[in-house]
Amino acid sequence: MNTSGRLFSTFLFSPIGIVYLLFLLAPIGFFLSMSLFRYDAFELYVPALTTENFERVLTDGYYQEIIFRTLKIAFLTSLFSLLLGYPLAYFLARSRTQWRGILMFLVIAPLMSGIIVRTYGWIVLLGSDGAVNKTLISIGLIDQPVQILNTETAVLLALVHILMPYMVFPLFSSLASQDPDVERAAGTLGAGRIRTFLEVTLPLSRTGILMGSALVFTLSAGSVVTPALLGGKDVQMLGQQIYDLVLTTLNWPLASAVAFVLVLCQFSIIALYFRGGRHGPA
Amino acid sequence: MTQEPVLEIRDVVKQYGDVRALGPVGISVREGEFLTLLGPSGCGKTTTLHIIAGLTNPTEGSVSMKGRDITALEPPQRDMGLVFQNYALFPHKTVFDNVAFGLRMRRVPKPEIKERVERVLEVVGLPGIGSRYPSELSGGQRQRVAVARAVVIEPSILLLDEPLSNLDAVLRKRMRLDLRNIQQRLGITTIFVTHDQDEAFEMSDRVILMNKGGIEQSGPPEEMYDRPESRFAAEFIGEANLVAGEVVEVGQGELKVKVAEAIFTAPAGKMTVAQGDRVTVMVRPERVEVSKTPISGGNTLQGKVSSRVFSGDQVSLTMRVTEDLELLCSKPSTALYRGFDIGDPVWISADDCWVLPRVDTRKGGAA
Amino acid sequence: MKIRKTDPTRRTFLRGSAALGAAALATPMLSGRAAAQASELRILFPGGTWQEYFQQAIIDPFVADRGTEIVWKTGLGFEPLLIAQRRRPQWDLAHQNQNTSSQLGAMEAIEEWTEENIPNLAQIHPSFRYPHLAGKVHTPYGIAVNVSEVPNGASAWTDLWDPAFKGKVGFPAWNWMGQEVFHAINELNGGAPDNVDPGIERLKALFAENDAIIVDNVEHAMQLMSAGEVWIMPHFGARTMQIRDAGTDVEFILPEEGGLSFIWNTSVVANRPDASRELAFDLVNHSLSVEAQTTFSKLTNYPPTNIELMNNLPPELKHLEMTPDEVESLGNIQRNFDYMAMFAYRDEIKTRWDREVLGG
Repeated sequence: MNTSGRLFSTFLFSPIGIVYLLFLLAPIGFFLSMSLFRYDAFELYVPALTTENFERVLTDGYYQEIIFRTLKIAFLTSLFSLLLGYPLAYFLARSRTQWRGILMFLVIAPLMSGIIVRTYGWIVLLGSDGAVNKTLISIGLIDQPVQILNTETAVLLALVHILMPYMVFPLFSSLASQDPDVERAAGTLGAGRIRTFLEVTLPLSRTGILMGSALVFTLSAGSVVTPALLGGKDVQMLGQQIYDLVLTTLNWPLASAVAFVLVLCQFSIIALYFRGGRHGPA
Repeated sequence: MTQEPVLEIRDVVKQYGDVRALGPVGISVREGEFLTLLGPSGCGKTTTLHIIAGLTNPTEGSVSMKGRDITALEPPQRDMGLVFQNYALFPHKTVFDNVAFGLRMRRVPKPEIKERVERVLEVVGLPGIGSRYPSELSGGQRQRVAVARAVVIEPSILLLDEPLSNLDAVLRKRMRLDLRNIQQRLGITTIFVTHDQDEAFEMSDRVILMNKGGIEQSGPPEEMYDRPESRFAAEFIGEANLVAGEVVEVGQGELKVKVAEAIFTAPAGKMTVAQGDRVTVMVRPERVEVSKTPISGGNTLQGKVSSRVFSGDQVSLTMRVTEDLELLCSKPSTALYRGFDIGDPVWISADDCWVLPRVDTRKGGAA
Repeated sequence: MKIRKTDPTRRTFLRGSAALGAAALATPMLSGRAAAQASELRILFPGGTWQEYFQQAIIDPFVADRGTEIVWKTGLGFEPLLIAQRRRPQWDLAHQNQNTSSQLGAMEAIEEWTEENIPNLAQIHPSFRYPHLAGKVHTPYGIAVNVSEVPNGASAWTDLWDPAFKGKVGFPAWNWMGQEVFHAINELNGGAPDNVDPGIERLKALFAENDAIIVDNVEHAMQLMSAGEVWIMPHFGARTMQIRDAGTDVEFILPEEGGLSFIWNTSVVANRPDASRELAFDLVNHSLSVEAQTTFSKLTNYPPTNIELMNNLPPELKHLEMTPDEVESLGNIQRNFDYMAMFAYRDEIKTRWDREVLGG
């Protein structure tokens, strides 16, 4: 057996392999087969093979728009989390101040309150009478409150906030595990701070960037509560569609097809991402 | 010395809050010299190196290079190559790109970069490995790449921060010679930091021994070994029998010291002593002569073998002279010296001895 | 689309008579302690205070009398579980409202409620009786209106379309109460589950012209109304009072076209062993009694459904009193709902809702 084959069999028989098999692959297999069944109003599903659910998801402009929006929001959430999270993670990893513990706590703190509570917090902040509008008016940027609630902006803001820890921690751990002498070496070789960052620090935090973005991308692509509460009717995402199809409409075959499309999008984008991000041995 | 020093640090102090980590110290380095900063961990040698490299700012004092004050310069503006203890190679870059890094930062044209990188890889004995990644190299190879990366930019000074400490014992010994050869071939002024006295002696033109943030003593290796100026220097460098004695006579260029019941004659050295001063007499173990038959004359003691350790090329004998005086003697393991057994009465002579102060006083100092 | 399962009434009738036969063979329930009765009840229930009230008012006295063991599983959205397990169910009772119980009933996942298997059902006001469920309390549902923003208040469902409220109208999410309210509007405009054009038309106007905002749940309603983002929306009476108690000047009105009312109770899961089913019916019967409803109403501040209790409210429950007209009004619209058809057409209706109403 070759090395990868042996690794694979080791994986399969390891406890984590079994957990994956039971809780990841089996459900995916289950809803893949469900997605090929025919919907029936009373029987829920009839095990007759059909592609009608996938046809509906993939050819219908309504779903196309939602798929596109979901991927767009997931991409933008990852991008903004990365742009905002990187300086924070960098500071946390490099700073020796006594504030570090407190800052760490502040980063984790959002995870301690429920996602729903945090989302409601954003309703208070983003409303037409909320703190954001009041501030913008008081500094004279706008005269009238602007509509932020029930827009993609609101969803994006809240997702970036809620998912920030998932970006910061992988980044933090990859930055903190870097040998500080490597940056120093670049300095002694003539690289200024910016060059050192671009040539050394940034490429060496690649794993953190990949992990963080992958986490944030998948979590935001699958979000339900945040777009529902902050996006209103105009910011429908796939997660809500699946939720409604499973629990309200009870159209499980279609729900499975939508879910399968979502998972497939997530998997393939992340696979592409990791492929693109892989060069040279780690 | 008429030649102007390449590098000079003056009255440098490094303070962390209330803790003084270093200084004040002053060091001046000659062109082409291989200088070693030697000392135990925490002695300030790495701090000194970092101050020279610009990685740490001194609290007080100045660093100048070829007469120009560089104290305020950032590392990229200093003309130095630094080899880190863990090499600090860029793991995401190939060997070629690692070595080429400093040249790229200096905007050297591409064809020239290629030529210089290839040449320096040859100098360090690693031709043709440019396309590999650091993770694919052995420890010794990484170490050479780190040296190549530091010297390819042709710095005025090469700084080596314990570059051998991560290698295994055999490789370490070989790399000492290699490093010294590279340095001599390039003729590059080098400051080497180590806690290993053997490394320091084998490689250096001059050694600066540091302790507790100050300079203990500096000089060529032989001088450091033969004529330590403090108990610390005597003990840190090599092994030493340190024996309590009392000055009984101060003569012309020599001292007479009473050790146990015997009178030892020793060179006077730099120390100023008076009759009746309590001092320490140092005898290197390999310079202790031992005999089963009586020896007469000065610098002679009588005792019994109390332990014997055979370590292949060497035999170490411990001999008890009095209740609180033991002497160690190391000799090649020839038949002559293998013949001693525990309990044998022996006559000991120590003609080659050296007098030290009884107690060390703290030093700042310059070298 | 036609309902494929033909004539559910006949089927339920047949199943009903079978159940009747079984009940006749069993010991009469009021005497209790049937030799064949099970000793354990397995209940699917939402957690939180609602469960605490249910436990205090209904479970504790029942357990004290029968010595029954109760096994709980708490959470929301158990319908898929019940449907998935409907051939071999693991649970005896599941918390439902009239809509979900009617759906589950259509799928034969739960038992029909009759006066034969639940004698106390006879005492429940018809406004709160459904084929597979009857409320132990009911939750009046109408319009919540912010009277500081809308001094004249509101009086009818049609007020939601008032252009004066543009951008400040809330409408419940489909998976919250939206489906119910949609069907009510549809009915009021002459539609039916197999003809939702009138409802779609009206709601499309509400979203497109009056910029209605989707409200996802009770907390969301509280947030949006307190923040002044929503001035008027369909809502529960008691929940509207909570918003008022939290400091926003809101009023609850029963619309003149007729209000809605949601009834809640534990439906009896079908296809369970006879002994378990009997015990489950016993518990449900107990929940409809005057004693149980009195305690439960006191705890929840929701009005009772037992006619005897409604007519003789103890002083501390007087504030829950409703006139016969009001009670009648609550049954007005929903009584006409064809839940079976709503269930049959749910996918088409939801699809049109998503595209034409929300996407329009």
